Amino acid sequence: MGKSALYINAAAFTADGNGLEKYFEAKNLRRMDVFTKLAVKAAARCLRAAEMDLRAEKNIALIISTGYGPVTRTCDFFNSIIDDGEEYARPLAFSMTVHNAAVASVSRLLNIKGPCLSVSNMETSFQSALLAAAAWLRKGMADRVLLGAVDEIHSVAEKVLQTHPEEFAHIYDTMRQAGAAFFIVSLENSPGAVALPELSVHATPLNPSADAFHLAKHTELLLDYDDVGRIAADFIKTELARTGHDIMSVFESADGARLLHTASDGERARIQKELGFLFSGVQEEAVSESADWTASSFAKLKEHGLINFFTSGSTGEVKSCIHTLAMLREEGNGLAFLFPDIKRVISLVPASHSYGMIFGLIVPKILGLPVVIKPPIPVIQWEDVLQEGDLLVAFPMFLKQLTELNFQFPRGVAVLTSTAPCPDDLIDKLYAGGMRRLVEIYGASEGGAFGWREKSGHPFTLLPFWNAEITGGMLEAITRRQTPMRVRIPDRVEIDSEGKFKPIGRIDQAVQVAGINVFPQKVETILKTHPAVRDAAVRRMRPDEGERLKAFIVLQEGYIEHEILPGLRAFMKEKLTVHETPRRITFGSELPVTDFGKRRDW
Amino acid sequence: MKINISGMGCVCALGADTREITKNMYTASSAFVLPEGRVGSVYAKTHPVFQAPQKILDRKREDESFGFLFLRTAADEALLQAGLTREILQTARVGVIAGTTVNASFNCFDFYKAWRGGEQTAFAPLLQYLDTPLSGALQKYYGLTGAQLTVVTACASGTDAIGLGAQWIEQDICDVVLAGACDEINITPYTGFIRLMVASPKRCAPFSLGRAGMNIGEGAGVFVLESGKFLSARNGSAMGYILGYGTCVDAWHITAPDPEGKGLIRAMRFAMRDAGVTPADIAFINAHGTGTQDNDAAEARVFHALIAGVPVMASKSVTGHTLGAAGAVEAALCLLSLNVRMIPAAANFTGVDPALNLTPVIQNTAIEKEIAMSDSLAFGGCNSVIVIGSQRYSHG
Repeated sequence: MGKSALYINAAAFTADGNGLEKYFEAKNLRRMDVFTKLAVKAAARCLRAAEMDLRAEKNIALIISTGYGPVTRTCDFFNSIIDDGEEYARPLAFSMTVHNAAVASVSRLLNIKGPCLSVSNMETSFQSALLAAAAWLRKGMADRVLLGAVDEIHSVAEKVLQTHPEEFAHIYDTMRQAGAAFFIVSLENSPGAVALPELSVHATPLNPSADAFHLAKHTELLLDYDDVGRIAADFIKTELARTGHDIMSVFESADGARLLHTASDGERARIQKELGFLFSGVQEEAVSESADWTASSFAKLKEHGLINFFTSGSTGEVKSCIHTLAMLREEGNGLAFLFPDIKRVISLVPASHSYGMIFGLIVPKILGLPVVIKPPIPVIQWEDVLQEGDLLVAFPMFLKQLTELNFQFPRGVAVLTSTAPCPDDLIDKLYAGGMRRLVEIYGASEGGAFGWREKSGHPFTLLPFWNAEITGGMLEAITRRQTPMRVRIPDRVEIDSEGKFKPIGRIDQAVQVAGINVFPQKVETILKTHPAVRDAAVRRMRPDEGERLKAFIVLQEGYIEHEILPGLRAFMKEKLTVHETPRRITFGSELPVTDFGKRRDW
Repeated sequence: MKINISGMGCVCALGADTREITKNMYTASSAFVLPEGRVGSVYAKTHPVFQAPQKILDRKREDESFGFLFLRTAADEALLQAGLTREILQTARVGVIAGTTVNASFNCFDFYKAWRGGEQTAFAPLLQYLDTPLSGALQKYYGLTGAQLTVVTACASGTDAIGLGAQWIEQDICDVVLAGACDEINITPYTGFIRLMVASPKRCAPFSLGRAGMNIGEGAGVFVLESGKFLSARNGSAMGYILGYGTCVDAWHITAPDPEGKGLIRAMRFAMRDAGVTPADIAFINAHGTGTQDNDAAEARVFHALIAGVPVMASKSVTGHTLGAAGAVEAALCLLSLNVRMIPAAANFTGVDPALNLTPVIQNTAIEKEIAMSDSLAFGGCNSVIVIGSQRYSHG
């Protein structure tokens, strides 16, 4: 596409046009339609990311691409002709029907006075805009181009698509999205810039600006605007690339912890601010993905009357966990009593997970509560999100990050946690941070919620929709009262006559090593008695690794891996049998866990 | 810059091709008709338009828009003049840049009305709109595969399309660029401009005292722009040159130009610098000259400030405002006038507006100089300018 490469100096994506009041006076925003708001917001955010002051910047051009243009306004004008008659058709609606409307408002509000252009080429609109930007930069018409792509969802195409999907079979696209993506591009490879990558083809006539949206969302993460931000951004870039855009893992990893928690207070505040900004683009994507998952899970449930929550459990193997609608209803009704004074649910867990389905969808539906989906990003301004009467549906890893950031809950916020055990000290810290009430759910994807507790050190109470099967004071299995479901308890659980129970350890099955039964949990317990070992995990090697046990060891502070290893080997030789001795030892700062805090392989 | 124009085609109310247009533009003979049958509007009885010749309208195929019909007609003529066959085009890097307003918009009013009313209606108009962006459609029409772009900078689209096309040649992105624009009479702009109180039921009178607004027009203009290397390798010749291009936004108002014309001044300065010319070199400027109060006032102010004394050609008095096509249609009229060495007279001029103190060329006027400038002002405050050299232009 030409001789010189383009570099991106800043990027921003937005999926909604709300909150423009933060940037502009209200009088300038009157009568602005969604199309223009999207463009103006993304452009403003992009300039902020680039730290550009347009009062000082003279040499900037503006190019905006769009597949549809302001289609809602066009339909408004059509409606006004049909409903009011041509003599009364609204002239202002007409003036906003031109594709150039976005250029008009962006240039006026952001004070751009250089060359400007609008291009439209349906699904290749953004590529066309890149061609134009490259030509202008090479020509010297500008030093930099504020380059944008904006599109609404085409309301008419969307409705026709819903009623006559066959008409669109040749261009069908599930990812239809409204949004705006803006970039600062130049020919200069300045520090912090990234070379424009080859565009991956996501765009279709039903999602014409998808390539630009995709590029902005991901470029936004790679760009930063000072040194602290650079460290944070590099880290996020690496982590997100490694984990396939799994947000929480960024905070769960050891490097993330170090970045956030070993810095001085001042540095940490800055990193937090930078991270919050860097994540602002991901937030919207995460929310829309979560909403998509929730919608598709709910649709499947409605269509088939059942849903399969696949779980990887602690073994890493995918297992089916099928729940019928009747089972979910029984569970939802049986849980509703726990939330007598909740006014709104803030869910961090998509409904593709059984926990998300029950607490983000079924229970709120039964109680008639509104649900707001939020991404599990600890560094965003939760104090602005949460309000009195909220129930935050979260999980321990997220809550741990919140407490480590010294988060203070606004008045009257309750927290729900599940997916992994919530440690007692974390519960205490949450209460110390002003949390009104905690409900910890003990359960599993196989059966949903089994029991609940509110305070640290307290046992769980079996939920009323279960009958318990008890053998020798241990809870072996539970059976639903109304629907046919029996679940073997995955942990060793002590239970009293009132149904109060306490998990005391996992049931890890014995594994065979060279034909001999060994118990990984026992090996773990012994390893943890070594003074240098803070935590340990033991499991059988995967077939590709060998036939023995392997160990993952977290050392106490002050011990150095290669120094302690000979002593540790001697300790194991003394305490363990040959078959029990892990052949491979991996060191790390935290045990490997899944996104939801369960142990995983390494 | 100095970019070869090896062919040019045009369709507008003045004629079906450049030969007819050349003949008619010096006699102000153009089709100013009530658009009954073209737009289902009550205004079709009161507000005439400058319509493309009936013999062109009659050629419309069912699966194409009038806009695309005009565009391919003009492109066919331009390629014929350039001596470029489809076979030759297959050997070159060919870019396509098309400007428009209506033909890139959701312009299916009749479909929308029927669909919204719950009538059983075919979805063909909707699918056609989703499937074929304008430049892509022209590319497909000639079996081309290179770079393509549809400009939608409202009424500056045609000028931008030609300016960008010239840059693609200058920067060796392409050997040949088909650059032009089209637009057609459509209920949205037709009703919209009338409702904005800027459309006149009488013939428009650019820069005149008592001017009452614009008339909508339609048509297309297409230029074949060609690199010197490719042109000489095939022993082709240039019929004119694109010498400069500039564009700048007012950042002022969605529908009204900056009264001081600051954006237009910057665009003109850039274009003249790009062309390496001064106002003294310019034979005439083809004004945007829509005949609205605000547009003509802003332009007059800029002309006095920057190019005082340069004759002003006001061709919308005979073509109407062809919206997105205007810049391309008027660039064609400029080159025709340069090559004939005569500026066509503006029609309907009723007297000097003392607030403007500007009289456009109202008699067919012979010229000696070889350079013309054409400017376009758009909704959104975009101002675009190109500088054109005649066939005889030999500098640079």
